[in-house]
Amino acid sequence: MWKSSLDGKRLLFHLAGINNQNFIMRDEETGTWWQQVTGCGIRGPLAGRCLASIDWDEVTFALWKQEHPETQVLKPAPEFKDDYATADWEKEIAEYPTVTPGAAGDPLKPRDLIVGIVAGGAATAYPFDRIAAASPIADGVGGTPILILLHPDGRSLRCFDRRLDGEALELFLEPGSDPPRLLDGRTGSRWDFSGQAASGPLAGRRLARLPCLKDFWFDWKTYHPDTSVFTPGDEAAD
Amino acid sequence: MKRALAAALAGLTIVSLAWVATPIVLIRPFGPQTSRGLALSYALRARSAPLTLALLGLGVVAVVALWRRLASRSGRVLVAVAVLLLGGSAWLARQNHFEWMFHPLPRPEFLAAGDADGVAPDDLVLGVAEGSEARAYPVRALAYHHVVNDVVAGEPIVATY
Repeated sequence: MWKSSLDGKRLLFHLAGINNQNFIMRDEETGTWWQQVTGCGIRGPLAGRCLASIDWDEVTFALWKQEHPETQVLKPAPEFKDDYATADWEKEIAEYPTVTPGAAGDPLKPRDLIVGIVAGGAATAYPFDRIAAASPIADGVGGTPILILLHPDGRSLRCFDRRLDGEALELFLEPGSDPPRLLDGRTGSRWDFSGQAASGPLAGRRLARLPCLKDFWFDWKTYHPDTSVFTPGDEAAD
Repeated sequence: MKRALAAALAGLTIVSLAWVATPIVLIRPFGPQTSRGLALSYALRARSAPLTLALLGLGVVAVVALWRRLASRSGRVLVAVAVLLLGGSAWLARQNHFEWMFHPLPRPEFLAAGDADGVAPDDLVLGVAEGSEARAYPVRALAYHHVVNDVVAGEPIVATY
């Protein structure tokens, strides 16, 4: 999800190719090739320039509607919608081969799903299975205290910066809360899935969102070769 | 003279086809890409439209010069095939074959949430909220189109998946 203006000019993009299973797009204005996952030009006049990211969420439609009742939804193209991905496309794609070979001693298999966070110059990959088992996960990436929160729907996921007024909050899932609520250890305020405190001394305050990317291990590793991989027992001690 | 023209025509055809085919082969899904392969593909694609047109032009000139010199029918058929291949190559140079498989969505339209029957509650969407605008791009649609150019709250964006 990128802002598509550069130097005050709007660029219009087209699918243009594939680079080790992450696609390449081309802008009409300069013909530059851009890598989809990095938003950076890789060949052509704007090679080396990067598009600015825009905040986005990957959540279920039900959750998004709940949080944004007035939302607009992209209308499917009538002539192509029969070719759209099927409901179980994620299972299908998990079986596809990869072209980047796994390195010996790699902690993860190429098509293992991870959630990747980049902060403070460091990158960490969080195996999705681990997140599903242990959400919320509190950790540190490049000195930034982070929180990964998976909704009980098992699919909607958000990442936050745990700092408020310069201090890192300890956040725990309130047992049995539906919709899910977090409690912070310092003040006992209750936080909702959008990162806002709904009640308690910090009511109305908001945690800053952190960009995080759900990706395949092989793709994340390609663009973050020095990434750490989160393993059980790594939870942050603040 | 006839042999030289025929050889030139064959050469033009081979160069034109190779120029267009090389990036297609190098940048194929499920094949590995290298940095050099990408660099070569970009360089070839960047010039392929005018180049293949020029080769077609030269090919037509060669055919015109050859035509009367050709006695046999098979000779003329071969020469005609060469021109067809040169023409096909010039046409293919101007196509984006990735968009044959994954059609673009040039003018995205939107529905109110209540009207979006095609999106199930547990379908994943990419959600963007800017100012007072909120937009949901269903992942199943984006996984097909790959790229959607849009404007949200006055900010031009490109939604990708």
